[in-house]
Amino acid sequence: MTETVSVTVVVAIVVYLGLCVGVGFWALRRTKSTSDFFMAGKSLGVAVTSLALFSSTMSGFGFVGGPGLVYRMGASSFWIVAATAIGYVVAFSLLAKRLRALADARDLVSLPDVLAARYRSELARALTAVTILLGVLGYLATQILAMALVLREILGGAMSLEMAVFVSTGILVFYCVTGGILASVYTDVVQGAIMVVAAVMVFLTAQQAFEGGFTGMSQVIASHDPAAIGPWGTLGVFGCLSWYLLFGLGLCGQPHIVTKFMMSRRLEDARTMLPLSIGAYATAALLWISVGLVMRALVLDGGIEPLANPDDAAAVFLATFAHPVLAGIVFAGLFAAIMSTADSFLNIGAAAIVHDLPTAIRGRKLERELLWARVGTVALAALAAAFALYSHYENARLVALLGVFGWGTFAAALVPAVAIGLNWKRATATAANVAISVSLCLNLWFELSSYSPPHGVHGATVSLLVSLALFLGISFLSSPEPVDDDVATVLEL
Amino acid sequence: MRMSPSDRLPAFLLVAVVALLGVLAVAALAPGRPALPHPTIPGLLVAADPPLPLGAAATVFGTLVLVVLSTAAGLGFARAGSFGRSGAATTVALSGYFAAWAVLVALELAGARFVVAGFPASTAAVVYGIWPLPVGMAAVWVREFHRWVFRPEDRRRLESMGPGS
Repeated sequence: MTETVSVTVVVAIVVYLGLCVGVGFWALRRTKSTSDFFMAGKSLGVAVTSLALFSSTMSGFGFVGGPGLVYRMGASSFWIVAATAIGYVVAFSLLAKRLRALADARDLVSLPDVLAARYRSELARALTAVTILLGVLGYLATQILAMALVLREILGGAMSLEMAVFVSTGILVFYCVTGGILASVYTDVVQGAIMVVAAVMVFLTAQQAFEGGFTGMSQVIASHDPAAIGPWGTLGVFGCLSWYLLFGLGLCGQPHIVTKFMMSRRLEDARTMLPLSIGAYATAALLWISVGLVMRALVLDGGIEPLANPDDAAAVFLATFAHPVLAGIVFAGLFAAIMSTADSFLNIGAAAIVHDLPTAIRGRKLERELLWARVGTVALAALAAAFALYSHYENARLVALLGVFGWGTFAAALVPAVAIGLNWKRATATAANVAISVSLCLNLWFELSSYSPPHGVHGATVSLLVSLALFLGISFLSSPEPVDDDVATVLEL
Repeated sequence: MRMSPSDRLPAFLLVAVVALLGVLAVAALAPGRPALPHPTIPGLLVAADPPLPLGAAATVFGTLVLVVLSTAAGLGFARAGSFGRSGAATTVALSGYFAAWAVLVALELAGARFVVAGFPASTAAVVYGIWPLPVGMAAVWVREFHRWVFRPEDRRRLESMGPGS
């Protein structure tokens, strides 16, 4: 990075982090109850909820991993982008109305609360909470490590990794503890806006970085390997289509995303939230596709040296081609993307620890739940930070192992019980509990055995299909179970 | 086992899911690796030689994937199993997906080589056909929200449940 770029990037990051701290102070005065802390008092406006939905979906994976995937595999990961867009439509049709209505009817504050109400099962609450906790721990650790590595890189190595972990986690914890989900979603608004602006500017820059624009890039990539720029990329037909299913249907099972449906001010707001979320996501995804393609074409064309790591695609592109101001905005956007997902995970993880598991085990909530929510948030972040450092220095496989409890496992475990179960009265608690348990075990087995299904099919897609088949099959074979009247009304809407 | 009208869509979904698992099992019998490391550039993958073509199994798999997504979305719109007018409209909206998929399959099978707006024709069908379709569906969602998704009588039912609603 040149000195001008470095200074601009540092200024942008400092301004951005200052904004996050400011939002934390602002939200502190507005967070007075557990419902405020976990559900933002169900008072969020349309634009805020939409941007929070989108920025929780995009995450650091979209800004770092996405371009890296296109660089490494060609057009294959276009299918993830396309799937996430339809995923919003599916998730809104299945869940936006019913989750919001149930949250109001029962004053619910988490997804495990919803499943306990739907199935009248504390086991369903506990299993969902455990699934969320496993996913949150692995995901938070990887996000904290990513934040620290980015911060250290921006500062040119002037800060130790431990200090970078301390600073980035400290700011994350500060605004999540003071303002709960309210601070989280309002920082998401800032983060989402940065991501959209950054993506448009990068897209325009990427077109100019290669002679002939996208046509020129396509021709160079095709001259080396026609399949890489074909519709399936290097992954192949089955792999791409399995991603399409996993991401298209799997969005309904992401707790950090779908719980946002429960936070809007009015159920009718869902009408405008869908186009806003899709529009923001589609715009931000321009960075994913354009940077990956231009970097692959440049490397194949001999314009730049091969990357040491595919995930460096965005960083190298920015350092080489972007105007210093743009580089500053995008690095802030990258930091924002990581933080916006990490804060959502921190919130639902804290809810699992201090609300869902105690309720499932004791049959009632903790006294002074708001205080415990803040303590739980700090404890979870500290554990994840320690975990991140341990994995970096001692055992990278440990975080990788928990990292698989991310999108794929949430999809396989929660899509049947949440998305289908809230739309089908005959679904039973036994079916939900079996589907969650089996999918968790299956995903763990895929990771431990290092077995990959043939033709590039993602293991989590197989888990999702098995989980769906079990859920539907067992529900059909079981005797119908009674459903509480208010829940039945919501299911019939 | 008695099946009520509200069980029809889940039953259809179950059949589609089991069929998808079946296609995967059949495909697993055929040998083939999806990708190989680039011979000279570390970190890059290239397609296996020859790349697995879009065969019958893959075409059926893709169609079933769309069926599962459409059925899931339809389940959200259906009321107590009644697909009715909203269901018909959902089907029409989702038929755009099947049309785009059909175009992609046709281009692939024909081996089309021409370029459309920066991408090979079949890739352009994904970038400009399948990817933007949800924008059109979102427009339908906004337009018909109060008729298909949340009607005035739904609001009244919720309000009758209690003060919190």
